[in-house]
Amino acid sequence: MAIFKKVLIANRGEIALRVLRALQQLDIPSVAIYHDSDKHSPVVRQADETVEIVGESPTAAHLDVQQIIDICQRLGVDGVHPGYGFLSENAGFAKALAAAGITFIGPSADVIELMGDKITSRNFVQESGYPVPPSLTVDSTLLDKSRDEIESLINSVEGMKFPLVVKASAGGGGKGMSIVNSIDELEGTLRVASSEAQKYFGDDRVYLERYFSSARHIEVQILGDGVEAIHIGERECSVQRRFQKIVEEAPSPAFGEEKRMEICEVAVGIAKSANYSSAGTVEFLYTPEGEFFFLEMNTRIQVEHPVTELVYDVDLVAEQIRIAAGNSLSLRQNDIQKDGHAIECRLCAEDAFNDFMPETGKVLYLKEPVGEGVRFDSGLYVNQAITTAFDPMLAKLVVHAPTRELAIERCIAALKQLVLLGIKVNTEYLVKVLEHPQFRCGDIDTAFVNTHAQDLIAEEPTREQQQVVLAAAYLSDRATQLLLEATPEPYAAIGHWRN
Amino acid sequence: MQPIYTLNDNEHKVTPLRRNSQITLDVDGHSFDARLHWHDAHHGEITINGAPHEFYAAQDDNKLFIHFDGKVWNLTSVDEFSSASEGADSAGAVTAPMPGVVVEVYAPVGSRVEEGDAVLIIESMKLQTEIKAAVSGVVKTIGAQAGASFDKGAVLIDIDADEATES
Repeated sequence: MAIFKKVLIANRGEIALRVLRALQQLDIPSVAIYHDSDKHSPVVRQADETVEIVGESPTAAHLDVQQIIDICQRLGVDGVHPGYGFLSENAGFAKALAAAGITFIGPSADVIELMGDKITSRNFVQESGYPVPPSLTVDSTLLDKSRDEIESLINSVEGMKFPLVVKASAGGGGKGMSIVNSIDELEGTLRVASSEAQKYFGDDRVYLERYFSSARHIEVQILGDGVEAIHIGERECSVQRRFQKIVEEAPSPAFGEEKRMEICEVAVGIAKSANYSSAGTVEFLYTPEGEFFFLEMNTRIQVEHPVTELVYDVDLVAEQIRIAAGNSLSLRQNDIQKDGHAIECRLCAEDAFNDFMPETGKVLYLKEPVGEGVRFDSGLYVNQAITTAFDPMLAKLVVHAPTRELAIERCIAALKQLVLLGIKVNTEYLVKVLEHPQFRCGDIDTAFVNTHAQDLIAEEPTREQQQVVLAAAYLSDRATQLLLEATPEPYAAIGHWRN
Repeated sequence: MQPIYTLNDNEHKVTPLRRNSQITLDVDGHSFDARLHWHDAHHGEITINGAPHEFYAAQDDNKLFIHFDGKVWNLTSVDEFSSASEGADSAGAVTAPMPGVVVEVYAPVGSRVEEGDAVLIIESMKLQTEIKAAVSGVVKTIGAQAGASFDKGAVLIDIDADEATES
């Protein structure tokens, strides 16, 4: 089997550690790059070689293509794994690596360009004969048209009606999206969306799509080697806040076997049309009427890939690395067998009960949940400062169980078992989601968080809970303990005779 | 030191009533017996009125984090007496937040104290509390001698602060 001599991990946090595990398993020497603020992180301690990267901000350092290529050349690196986020869907990075004789562990730059751009990929998928949602590309002349002209333009697209969603063609991760409920809101939203798209993605192209408020977000995991492509089942990712997923599971509770096969085969067809190589994800909207539409393709490993790994017993990151090294798929469609159910919860530094406001702090204590079927993917360490420099997602709790019901129970138990002190995270909120009757019966859509907002609130503490917490606080509070230790006698003495 | 803990935006006062093999605490006017056993630096078992509860605790200055009953409780602590002293005329003065009796005077008038030193012990509403020097300096006034009572708002201690700390 062809394999890399040395692989650089161009990421940080939990995914950097996840990639390192795959490299260790494949016996490939590893290089971790890190910004100064991450110098104590586990991946830096565990990788074979480490190099500090610099930049105006930690994020800028991780986006510095030339700096990363220089490190690769200096250390004899012949493969780069980009993880997710940062440079993972940057065709320019893939090209620059190729020009330097280094392999980008992902699809080819051409495929990233084709599938990474939302307008281009939607047109490609439609031309390949697969369903896309009713949509309208917005060019600069649209805003000069009269309201009637715009309205008739929208009506001319079959199935197009309000509400609509404006999306940035170069967007992703839920950024650059906004919902338009009526024609009155359209012009203003388009102008704002276009200028935001320019600001965040350096590309002002936006498009309008019909917004299905009660649809599910279903995605299919793909593996391809440029010739063959297979699917590794679907994931249900409907529970989202601010268009960002917080709970994902596999398989989806929405499907019978027939529909599952149909949507998975469409995903394989799309991947094959693109001669897709590496791991990828085809995202769909699935309506209550049973229709599904192509949304976008993610040409990288995804945050929620572990639920697929647990249910299908595959190592997706190792597969990415093997394929990028030039090997053909080691798995055939028939090898892919489903076993049980898996759920992932994203642990985010935020005040989930207060509009998901981001929180900062310091990790003072961490005790990871353990037990049968429990996986905890995290790059956290004690004394780590949690700042707003990076994404608020700190870790992922993933559980596997024979059935969905058992997986929910196991996940709730593990969330309660997790002890992360020093920063507010959304653990209690996630428990409320998993305990919700509509979640338990699998009746979820992308509006779940908003629809059930009145149920997803913090529980009022009981008096007993308050007593325990306050007594524990008082008796562990260093300020009061110093006092009690310093002056034991008066308290003990006075206490005795006073009673 | 009289800590007030803020939990879910509500303030709670916890005060020790007496201590021998266990401690009797008063929380918001309800008293109960508590006993604490540490398994390690962060993991403990607290027994309240005979019922044991596992918990984890960590502290960053006046922020306390308690993991109990499957979730994390975030608390912040303020010292009622030091916050009461903020409004006093002199940096070294501490006024009484409630009426009470002086139990013991550690530092008589004229003695030198360092910031944080205990100056006297008071008893208010059956609670004993230490009053600490807010600044380093020389004790100028003791509001009441041992056994004497005082009213709410009375100056309990006043310290002539060292010049360097007064600025």
